[in-house]
Amino acid sequence: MTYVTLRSRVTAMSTDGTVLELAEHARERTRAARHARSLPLVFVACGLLVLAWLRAAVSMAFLVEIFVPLAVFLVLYLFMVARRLVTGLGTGTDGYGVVLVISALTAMVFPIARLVGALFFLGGGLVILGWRGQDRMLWIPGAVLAAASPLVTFFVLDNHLRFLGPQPSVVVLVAGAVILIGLGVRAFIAERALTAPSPMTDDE
Amino acid sequence: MSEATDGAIHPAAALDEVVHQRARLGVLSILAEADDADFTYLRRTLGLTDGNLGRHLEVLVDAGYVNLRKGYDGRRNRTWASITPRGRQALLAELTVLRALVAQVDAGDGTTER
Repeated sequence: MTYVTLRSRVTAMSTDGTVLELAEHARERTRAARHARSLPLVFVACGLLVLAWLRAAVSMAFLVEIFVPLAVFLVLYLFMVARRLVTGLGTGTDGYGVVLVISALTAMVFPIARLVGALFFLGGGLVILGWRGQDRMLWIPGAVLAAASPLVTFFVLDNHLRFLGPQPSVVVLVAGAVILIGLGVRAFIAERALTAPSPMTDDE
Repeated sequence: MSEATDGAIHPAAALDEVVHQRARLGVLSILAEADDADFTYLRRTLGLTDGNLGRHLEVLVDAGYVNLRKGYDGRRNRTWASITPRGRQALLAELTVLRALVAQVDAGDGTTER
């Protein structure tokens, strides 16, 4: 172990260090306590399930599906604000409000929203949250969703993946939701493990 | 203040005593990630007593690194602490200095004990 001393006090430790590690661990712990990774993944997964249901059961689904990202990020925002009041821990700078405003604005510009598809905005929301929170487990799935959006929106999957049944895009949306829920549950378990009590000691 | 053998100022001289204390570093790290947190959460997470946390918050407020805000949530009074841009900057500077120190030691160029 290597450590630096200043005025006979340990100032910083490397590899298995204390002070530097404490600060970085506190950040990870706080992020885990906010469930900043698991909750967006699960909420977006729910959005995918709603999109799948709209496609499967509602005629002219495209008229309403563009409001799904707005609804998802509104509920996520309200949930995070409610959590802040209950737990006493703030919502951070991830930008839940930013994503909500962007979703609202894009829902209002129907032609653009129709062009790129609702899935693009669900994925784009995750990309923004992941980018601002420096969390690749959010922005990578988000980027994949955004990239897959044209394939779903313009029925490319329905035309080329007939072996998946009468509505291949619905199957793909449900599969995407299951994967996201799996990632979300795994993240939730990791977050719970990270927030297990380990009080820092006061040395002054 | 310590100086390296080549006459340059040692990175440790740039450490901010206000930020460097363990509990205050914990408070700033939490607030930098969460933006704000209430007194009870900070006390519980950092394992401090009311008086201790109050004293550390006072130091941070005096330095302009943290703002305190009293609130009421319908059931009880709560004190919310939030980090200021200056506090965020001070925390980043502290982490940069610590990383520089560790890098210097790892390179065999600092005061080390093994």
